[in-house]
Amino acid sequence: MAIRLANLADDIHPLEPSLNPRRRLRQAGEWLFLIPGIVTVLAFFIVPAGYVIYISFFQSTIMNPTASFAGVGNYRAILHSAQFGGALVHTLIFAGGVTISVLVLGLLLATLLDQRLRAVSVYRTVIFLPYVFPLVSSGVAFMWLLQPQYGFVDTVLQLLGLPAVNWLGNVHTALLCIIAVTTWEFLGFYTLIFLGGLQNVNVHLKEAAAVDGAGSWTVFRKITVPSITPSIFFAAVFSIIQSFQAFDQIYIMTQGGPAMATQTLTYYIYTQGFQFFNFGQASAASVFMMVLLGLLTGAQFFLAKRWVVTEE
Amino acid sequence: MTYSVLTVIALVVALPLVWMILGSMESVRDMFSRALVPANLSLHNYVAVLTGQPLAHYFFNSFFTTAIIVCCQLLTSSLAAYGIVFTKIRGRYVVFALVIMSLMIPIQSIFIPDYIILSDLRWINTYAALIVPFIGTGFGIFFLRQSYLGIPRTLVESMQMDGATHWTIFRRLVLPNTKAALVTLALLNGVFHYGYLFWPLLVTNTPARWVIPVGLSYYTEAQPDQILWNLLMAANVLAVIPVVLAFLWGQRYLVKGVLAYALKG
Repeated sequence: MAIRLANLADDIHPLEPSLNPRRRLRQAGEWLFLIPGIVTVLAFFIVPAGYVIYISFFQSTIMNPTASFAGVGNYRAILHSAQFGGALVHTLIFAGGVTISVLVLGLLLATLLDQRLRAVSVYRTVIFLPYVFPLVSSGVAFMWLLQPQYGFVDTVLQLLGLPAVNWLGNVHTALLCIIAVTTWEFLGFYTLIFLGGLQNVNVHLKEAAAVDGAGSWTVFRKITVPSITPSIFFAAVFSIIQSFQAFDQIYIMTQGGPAMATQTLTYYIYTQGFQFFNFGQASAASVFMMVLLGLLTGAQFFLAKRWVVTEE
Repeated sequence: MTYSVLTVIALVVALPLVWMILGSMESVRDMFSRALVPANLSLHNYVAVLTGQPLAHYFFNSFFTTAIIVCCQLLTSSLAAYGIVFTKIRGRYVVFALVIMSLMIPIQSIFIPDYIILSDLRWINTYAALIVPFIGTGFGIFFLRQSYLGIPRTLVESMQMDGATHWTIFRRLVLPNTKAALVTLALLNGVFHYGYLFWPLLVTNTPARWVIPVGLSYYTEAQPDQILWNLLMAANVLAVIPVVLAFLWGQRYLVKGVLAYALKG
């Protein structure tokens, strides 16, 4: 599904002539539908987003987040900080790794599940199940699976005569493990999205191509993939937004370690804000993250014009 | 061929679950024995974990806060989505633009102001801090709007001709016809808030207000070699039972709801 902004204007009516008092009263009543939802979204999302931008220009103390004006000092500080740079790189690797994994595996699974198979709902249930797990539970389950020496993975490795690996304690593998658990958690959701997309594929077109002697790989590449580009686009946008917010699994599995190898932007903001009480720099990093996410999403929408096939 | 690939993938997906359940029924000594197939299984760990930690209280906190959040979200989102789709209020496009904007703002990037607001209200470590920030949801409004767009406008207009108020149309036409979307939203957001660690971790600081994810994270804060893995696995199995049951119950709505959402372009 592509969030089509064009929908915003799909039913604009020409402005109605000036309202008489009775209509005015009715409109006031209609606002009651909007108020509860929009007030809370404003109070806890939109206004705080503005406030974060404000705080980011101040030097903070524990008691007062806006103690003294600092201009762009906080931004300069984070951009010169190696720790922030590391967090940025880890975030991009993490978001890229998770997104590519769920797209490739999700497409594969959806294609397999889309055939008329017996017991297809059993497979679908098993594959979707991790999505409902708390990320903390998934993290804990993977920690146990990846226990050095005695976990399942290392036990199998040793049975095969290979050395055991301290998966979460090694700077080279820890981020990979976080990517793995996140992929495991969300794969079912994206598979379902792709399954939805596959229902849009024109069966006759596929059959006609097969009759003309096209192999299944060609059919997949030339017919199936182009027909579900809106689903792929939605999945890519959604997965990147979701990856930027990852926190729970990192907190539970590695606390950002070892040697900050799994510290992402969100985790950096958390430690700056709530371990060092450096609200100014944490806010500057928050603004940086929101802008980066906005740019990435905007770029995806821009590039989408080239590869997303819409029917209209 | 298809079956074998699917079966392999399903087994890989199920592996962490199976390993977790096995671990929850072993003694610590058996857990660290390098045997793939455990020798003795018992439910002893479950008894130990239920008597050793106030797990029942964490469950209560989780259920209580999640239930209230979900009920409030269903109410606020369905009303707002109705207002956006079916009324002619000037400014509903501004409202919808704000909703889209809020989808792009992760709470992980605005938690500092939210925390400041809550501490100014003296709400830190109260149920209100766990619930109130989430009673409105941009995602919920957006999601329900998608399904409301499927309701024929002519139907709404003919009811209006017959003198029905918006409130009547909302209750008699819109709500009954979007049940699958409501259940889907309740499941997706309920599962999310039940499992959410980040926020409860920030705003609660005594076990009396802890929810399940915070309780679980408490185990892993021990030194790595002192984590009680067998108890942790038992607690973890208990923690996932409610969401697994909820999922199995609502699965057909969920599949339908997500597919419809994905299909709607």
